[in-house]
Amino acid sequence: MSHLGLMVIFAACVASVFGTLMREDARAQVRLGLRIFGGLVLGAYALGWIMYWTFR
Amino acid sequence: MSARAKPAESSHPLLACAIAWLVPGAGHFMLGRNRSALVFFFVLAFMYLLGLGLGGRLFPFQMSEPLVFLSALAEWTMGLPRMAAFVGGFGHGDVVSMGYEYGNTFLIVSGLLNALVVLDAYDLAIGRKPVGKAPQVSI
Repeated sequence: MSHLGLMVIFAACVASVFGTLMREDARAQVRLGLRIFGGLVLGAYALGWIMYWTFR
Repeated sequence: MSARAKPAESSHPLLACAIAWLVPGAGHFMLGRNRSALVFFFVLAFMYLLGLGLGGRLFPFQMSEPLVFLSALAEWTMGLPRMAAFVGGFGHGDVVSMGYEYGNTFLIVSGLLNALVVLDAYDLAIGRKPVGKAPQVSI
């Protein structure tokens, strides 16, 4: 499995646990989970590109 | 200082913590949070199994190596899965395999997430976390 695939699985797992822990309502849990998931994946992407341009 | 919420019915804080530590989500199940319990159980068990499947290592308590010690501590916050993996002879960890670091990450983070779940079960059991209204933390 690729690094990206594992990162997406990792982000989905972490987001679902935090979403469930930090919100009560099911819709709010899903919304928060999606925000955390997006933040993790996009953040990792951005960090990857920053490191690529910095250290290449 | 905010007023404490009513503790969940038939809640024994230490029992809830012990059960939550042994089986991810079981503490929430005991406190009547069945949906949360299912999410915690399936997600954390999946992460743990994936970590083992990727070749992650079950770290020993090695005081001379602080990071190894902390990793062991994090992995032991998954009580029963950690014991089962130990008894079953899994988690030797092959340091040259491609999935070694990924596996360690999944194993360690699943344990740390379960530590948060245990603390959440404790808060619910003593009534620190209001039933029906979770703290709104803006992200």
